[in-house]
This record gives sequence, C-alpha cells and structure tokens, in this order.
Amino acid sequence: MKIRLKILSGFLVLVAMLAVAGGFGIWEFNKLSKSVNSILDDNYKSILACNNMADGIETVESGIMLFMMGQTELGKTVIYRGDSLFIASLQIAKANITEKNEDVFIEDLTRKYELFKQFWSDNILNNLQSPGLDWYLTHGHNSFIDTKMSVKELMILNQTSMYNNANNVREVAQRAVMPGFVAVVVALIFAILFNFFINYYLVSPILRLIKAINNYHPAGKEINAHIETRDEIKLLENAVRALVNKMNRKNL
Amino acid sequence: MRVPLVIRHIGMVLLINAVFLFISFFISLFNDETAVFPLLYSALIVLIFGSFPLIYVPSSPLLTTHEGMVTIVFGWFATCIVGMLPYVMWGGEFSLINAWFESVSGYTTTGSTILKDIEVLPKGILFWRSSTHWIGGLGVIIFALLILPQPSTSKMVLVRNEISTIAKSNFQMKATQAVRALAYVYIGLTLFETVLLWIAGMSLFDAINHSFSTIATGGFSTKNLSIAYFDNLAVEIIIMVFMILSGLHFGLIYATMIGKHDNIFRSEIVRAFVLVLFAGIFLVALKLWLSDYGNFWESLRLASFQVVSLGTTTGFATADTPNWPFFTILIMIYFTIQCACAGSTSGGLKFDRVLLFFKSIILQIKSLQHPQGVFVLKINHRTVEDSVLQNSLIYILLYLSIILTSTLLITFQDVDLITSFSAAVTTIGNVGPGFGGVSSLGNFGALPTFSKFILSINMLLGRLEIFSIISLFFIKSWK
Repeated sequence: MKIRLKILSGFLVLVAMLAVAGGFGIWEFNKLSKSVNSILDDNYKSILACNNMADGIETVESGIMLFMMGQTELGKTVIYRGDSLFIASLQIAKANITEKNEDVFIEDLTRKYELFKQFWSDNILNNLQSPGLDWYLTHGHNSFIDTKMSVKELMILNQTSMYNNANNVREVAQRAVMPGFVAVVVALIFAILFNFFINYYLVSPILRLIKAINNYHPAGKEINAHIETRDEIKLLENAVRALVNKMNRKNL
Repeated sequence: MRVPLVIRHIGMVLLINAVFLFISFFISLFNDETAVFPLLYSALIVLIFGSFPLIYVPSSPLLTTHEGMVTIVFGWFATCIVGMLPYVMWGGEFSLINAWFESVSGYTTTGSTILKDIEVLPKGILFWRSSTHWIGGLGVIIFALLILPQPSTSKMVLVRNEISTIAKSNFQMKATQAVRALAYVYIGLTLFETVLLWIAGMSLFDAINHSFSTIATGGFSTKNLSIAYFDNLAVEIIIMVFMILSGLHFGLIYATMIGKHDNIFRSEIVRAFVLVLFAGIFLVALKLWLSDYGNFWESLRLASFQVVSLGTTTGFATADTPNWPFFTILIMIYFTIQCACAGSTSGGLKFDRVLLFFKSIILQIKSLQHPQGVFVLKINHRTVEDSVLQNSLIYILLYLSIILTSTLLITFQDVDLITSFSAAVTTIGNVGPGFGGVSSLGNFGALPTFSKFILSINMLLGRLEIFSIISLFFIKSWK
C-alpha cells in the first residue's frame, strides 16, 4: 500500500471513531431528552391530575358531610366545587393516556365516579333535608371509597411508570456518556499505535536509508537499508541503489 | 522480538471477535433492543483495531517461540479488553470491573457471573456473552488460525503455545491438521447439541446459547436459574452428555470419529476420568438420598448434573448446592480442583496431571519397596518422560499455591473463608460456580472490586496454564 494511503487510513480511522462516538452520543442524548419529556409530560401530568381528582372527590365528600350535618347550602356549594375539580382533572387524565392499560383504568374510574355522582345527585341535590350521617355511611360511603381506590390505582400506574422512566434515564445517560469515554480511550490507544507504525515503517526506514547512504563506501557492499515494506520507501531504496551502481559503473 | 508482528497477530485475533460482535449486533437490531449501538460501536472499534495492523505490518513466514508466547498472552488480554466494550457501553449492572470480570469469565470459559438478573439483558448481549465462551473455548488464537490465512510455520508456533502442554502428545499431527481436527469436533459437537436441545424443547436462541456454553465448558446461561429453569430431563441429559464429551481430549474424539486405533475408548485417561466422575456421582447421590434431599432418582438426577457440570468445568446448575451436606460439597470441591482432560475446552489443573500425580505416588511406593527395581511411569502403554512428570508436579504445586495466595488476598477484604476459597478454586479451574456467597445459582457481584480483579487474573492463569503468563515477567531469561 502507498504511504499516502497508509497515513490517510490512520487519520480516517480516528475521524470515523470520533464521528461514530459523536453520532451515538447525540442519538442517546436525544433518547435522554425524550425520556425526560416522557417523565414530565406523560407521567407527571397524569400524577398531578390524579392528585387533583383525589382532592376533588374528598371535597365532594366534605360537602356531603356538611349537608348531612344540616348545612345544606354550604354543603351543595362545596360538592359542586369538588365535582368540577374532579371532572376537570379527569379530562386531563383522559387526554393524557400514555401507559399500557391506562385507558382501562380511566374507564373504570369514570364508571365508579358516575355511580357515586348519581348517588349524591339523587339523594342530596334534589332533597332539601338531610337523611343523616349514618344513612350516608351505610349507603353512599362505599361508592366514595371505590372511586378513591380507582384514583389511587391510576396514580400508582403512573408513578411506577415514572420510576421506570427515571431508571431508564439513568441508563440512557450512562449509554450517552460511555461512547465518548470509550472513544477518548480508544483514540488515545489508536494514536499511540498509529505513531508506532509511522515511526517503525516510515521514519525508521528513512533514517536507516540515510545511514546506509552516509556509510556507503564504493569498495563495500551495495546499499541495503533492510526495508521490509513494499511502498515508496522500498522504491527509494531501490532507486538509490540503482543510482549508486550506475555511478560506480561510470567511475569504473 | 518483532513487536509489529505480534501486533499483527493480535489484530487477527481481534477480527474474530469483530465477526461475533457483528452477529450480536444484528440479533439486537432484529429484536429492536437497547444494545444495538453498544454492539455496533464495539464491533467497529474491534474491526478497526484488528484490521489496521494488517495495513502496515507485512506478513512474516516465521514466528519465534518468544513471539508466539507473547502473542498468545497479549492476544488473550486484548480479547478480554475488547470483550468488555459492549458491556461497558450497554450499562446496567456492568461497571468497569464488572464488565472486565464478565468478559474474562466468558473468554476463559469460567462462567462465573456478576449479574444478579441475567434475563434483563438484551438478546444481543446474551448472544455476545455466549460467543465469548465459544471463541475462548477453542482458544482465541486457534480460532484466528482456523479462519484467517497464516504461514504454516507461524501456525505451528502459535498452536504449540496455545494448546495445553500436557495435551500435545495426543495431537500427533501437523499444526494445520490439529487446528482442523479441533474445529471439526468443536463445530460438529456444537451443531449437534443445538439441534438436540431444540428438539428437546428449548427455543432456538436458548439452544444455540447453551450449546456454545456447553461445548466450551463455560456455563453462561440465558436464564437466572441456569438449567434448573427448563426443568426438563431430556435437556439435562443432552447437556450432561455433551459436557462429558467436551471434557475429553478433542484429538481423541477426532480419532474416534475417523476410526483410528488410539481413540477415546482405548484411552486410559478417558477411562479413569469417566470412572472418577461416576464414582463422584454415586457418592453425592447416595449422600443426598440418605440426607432426605428427595428419593433416590431425584438425588441421582441432581447429583449427576452437578458433578458432571463441575467435573467438566462447565458450571451449569440444576440446584443451589450450598445447602447440600458438607460431604457432597467436599466432593464437588475436589472435582472443581481436578478439572477435565487436557486437550479439551476446559481449563484448570487437568485430570491428566492428577492421574500422573497419583501414579507417581504408586511408583514412589514401589521404589521404596524394591530399592533395586527400575520402574517407569506409563500412561496409555507409553512411558511418561521424567521431564513431563516433573513439569506436572511443579504445575500442581504452583496451581495450589496460587489458590492459597488468592484466597489469602480475598479474605484480606473480609470475605468469608468458604466464599474466598471456593471462588479462588473455581476461577483458576475455569469452573464457574463456587460455594458460600458464590454458589451455583448465586453470583460474584457482591465481592469487593479488588477480589473481582484477583479472580479475573486467576481465570486467565488457569486458562493459559500459568507458565505462559509468568514467563513474560522473566524477560531477561529470554535473551
């Protein structure tokens, strides 16, 4: 192989290694950014919505309690406030279905809340008088518990996914950093190897050739720099030898 | 010493790894896994490092013994270093030291792992783990000689240095023929076992991986519970048969295949090895049965798999042995020290040396009884030269002193004695599982970093038969 190609190949390899490491790093960082977005947009938004739904349903129950204890008007106001908070949060959760089976969880939650809502609409909003706290605890509280459990399940689903995504971020971060680290170490080793070959197969033969020319004596052996390679340096050695032989013949 | 020539040969060894890295990459790509880029980048780096010296360094017809030995040792080290690249870049449980440990354990066919959860690994990485076994089982240098063109004289020097010193007598053929014979047996057994395991109910992927591990006497599995996961008697029997075959001299298996007179059935070493193995199985099964570890057949099933697995230095498991009676543990520790036959894919002490040792004791007793008598030590009706015997005895002593030294160094880091000792024994023997904290279904992940490093050096010492590595420290005597 020609010297030019040999040197070029060394530099090309260095460039290729760094380019691939760079490309790989960019690709992994892109994934990292997607994972972070996923944590923020998909999971955090849903967890926040679940929190608000839990607040909303507890507010509704506070309203029911107030109503049962005789504060009917204040109770109704609080129930309406809790209901609108729950509905708004449920809409956010419905618009942000990102996990496997999340739609099933939301459907179940919607169905349970509708049952609960039907209970308090039928028995509270249309009545002017409270049927009493004991009556509520016997007939309506279980529906509240069911709905709240569904909210909790939805929240756990998103929290688990958030944990997994955060773990994924940690792994992706390592994967994004390692190629760079490996590229630096590998490039360093390669540079040493490249330098060694340049020195061994290009510089040293030239020095040997110079030494052989300097030590040449017309009465001695013909010039031999012991060039192992079959490149331009070998051609140079042959050319020098031919020139010296030609000059010797001329002098004779 | 011509350093560029050594680098050229090491480069050729690396090219073999690049081939398997590319296969692993395609497996990952096909399964759309997270290991796609780590494998691709590793493959490219290894390809570059392997092929670059070929551009500069012209081929030479002859390697000196010194150059051959340096090539072997540094070739193994270089291979282990590039083998850790996919692990390090993929991440997970692979820190730098863990990746190094896993890589060395793979190539030396030890099969000890630092992983708590193997099943979480992408298929590409799992295949790469098994590939390291398969490459290392035949020997990284032999593998390179098999595929890449090489002058026959250089081939001879490399084969002479790569093959176990005690196994050479059975390779009474030229280097090229010896490499070819090894390859026929190695590839043939792997293909045959893969098909059988597939028929027995394993998925093709698992069958390939477990065949790679079995024939290389490695022990890496694709499952956390190793072979116990499959709970399949047919699978266990197939693996046991191939573990025993892989623990025999490949030259003898080849001779048997081509119908030569000196075959495995006529080999005194093989007969003794199988006899000792069966004796071990019987004793362990009997003790398990008497200790109420199940009925006799269950005890026999567990005992035979564990004893064959440790006795052939494979390291697969169908049971977690630390809870077994001490008697059975001691027998299995003996098999961990004894290892399998020379000329097989197993590492460690080698049964041939143990047999020589016991025969030399008998010889010594005879000499004492008959001071005027002339006695010669014979194996397979051939006289064993004094130099071979002396070499073997020195090797056994050196082997045991390395076990003691490494046990000492590991206990220094407050690791308990059983764990330290069995880890030292199992790594230098290239067996895989030990006892205590590093049992058959356990892992080496909890050991301190320095211990992992010592154990990885043990694995290399066991695989390269100690002297090759040690001789590099005596540079002056080479001159």
